[in-house]
Amino acid sequence: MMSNAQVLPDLNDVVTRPYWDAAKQGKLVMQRCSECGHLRWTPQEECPECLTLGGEWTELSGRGTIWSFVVYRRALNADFPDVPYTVVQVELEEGPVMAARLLNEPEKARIDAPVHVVFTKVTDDVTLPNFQLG
Amino acid sequence: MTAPGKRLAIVATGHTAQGEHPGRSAGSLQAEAIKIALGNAKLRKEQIDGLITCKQLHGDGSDDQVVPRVGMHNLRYTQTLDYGTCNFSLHQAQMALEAGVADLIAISYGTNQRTNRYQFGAGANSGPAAFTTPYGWTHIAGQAAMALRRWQHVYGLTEEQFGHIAVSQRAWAQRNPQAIFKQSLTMEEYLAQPMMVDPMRRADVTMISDGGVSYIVTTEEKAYDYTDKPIIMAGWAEAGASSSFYGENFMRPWLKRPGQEIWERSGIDRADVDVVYVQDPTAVWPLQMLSYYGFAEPGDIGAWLAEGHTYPGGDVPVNTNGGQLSEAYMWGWLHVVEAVRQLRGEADAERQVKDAKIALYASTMAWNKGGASVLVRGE
Repeated sequence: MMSNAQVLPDLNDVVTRPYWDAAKQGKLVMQRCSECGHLRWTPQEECPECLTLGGEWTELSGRGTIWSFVVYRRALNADFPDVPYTVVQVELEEGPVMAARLLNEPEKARIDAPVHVVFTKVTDDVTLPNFQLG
Repeated sequence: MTAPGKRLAIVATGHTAQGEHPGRSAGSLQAEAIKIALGNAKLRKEQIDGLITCKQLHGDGSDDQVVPRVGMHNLRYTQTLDYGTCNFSLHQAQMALEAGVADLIAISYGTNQRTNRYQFGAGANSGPAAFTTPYGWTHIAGQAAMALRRWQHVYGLTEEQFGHIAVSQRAWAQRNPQAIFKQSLTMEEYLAQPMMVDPMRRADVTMISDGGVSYIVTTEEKAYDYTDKPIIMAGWAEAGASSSFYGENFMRPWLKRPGQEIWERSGIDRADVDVVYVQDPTAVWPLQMLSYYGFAEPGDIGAWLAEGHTYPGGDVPVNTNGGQLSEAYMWGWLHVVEAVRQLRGEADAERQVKDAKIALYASTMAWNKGGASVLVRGE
């Protein structure tokens, strides 16, 4: 399903590397601010609420609901020729909204449908979190 | 609020042909547009003492590049905006005029993104983009489609209701000789188009084009030295987005603030607006901005669009040039060129809105900032 992912995340980025290391181990993690407790997405050096540097990488449930979704029927990027594919934004139980592929057929996607994270190994180094219905 | 005599006044506009300009740089297209605008105002470039340029998306067109290219020797103030959509450039010029750092300012934008084959669909793989690009969630159409699906869900918007944006703008473009897309687009033809990024069709997304645009602006009190038909900026407003790129930010709720402030700051009643311009890389932009600037509540915008207000002959004509969906992709700069034509009564007869006196122009920089200007005919 994800074998067409030609564009892989930059693993030399020290800020985001812990996220990809965790994904490789089958864990979905985000940074929780040690000062105010805010759970942030996407990764960055400081908390966007109180601007405190750092934060604890925290494992999440991987469960949520579909906030919205789109289906690429035409390839708009030569690196992703295998249409159709479905991109979802998922509102996680813990609050943040993140994007990934939905691995079910496009026709089954519905806003508010419950989903859970699954981990798709793309290369020896890169595993992408994706979602499945249920 | 700006003192009346110090309000920004557009004394002339100029633009190149739109479409393809092989072998031309963004700076050269800016220079051509400036030359045309100066000619339209019967000005010499030595009279210009301010220059505000806008870069194209892939970077070039800054003031330090354009100033030597156009040989302006009397500049007291120059500046560059990364993403003008001309609203932000107009607002920057207004502040420079109020500060007294320049009296007669050229603002300009040029792009060769079509012949330069700029890859709008390509995405970065570091920083926040590392969490979108690897999934193939690239191109502004994919982001806009995400917002549209959510809008359909929350507000009950139908495909046909949404289609009135692209269809009505095409109807206007067919009355605009300059428009690139003029072929028929009926609602039936719109609905028959396959989905590109479901729920969006090709007609809901702009094409890429080359071109340049410039305006010459001064204060209202000096404008009549240069033209008997100045167009005055009665008021303006801007807002920055919420912090997160994801989720609710796709609905752009932060546009509600400038959507109210623009009327307070301009002293104009929304009901008195004669023509409306909304920068439109996709039809989602007009959908959201017509809602937040008060033409219909978000829950009613679909029914409102279906009532035909935005079409030729309607009471709220929207993007009478055809907009970016049908005329050309110039980051909204041609919307203001058209607003000036309409307010001066100089549009082609088949699309001139009778006695148009007041225009709204609204735009955003993707999902990150937005703003609006109210333009009125000088008295």
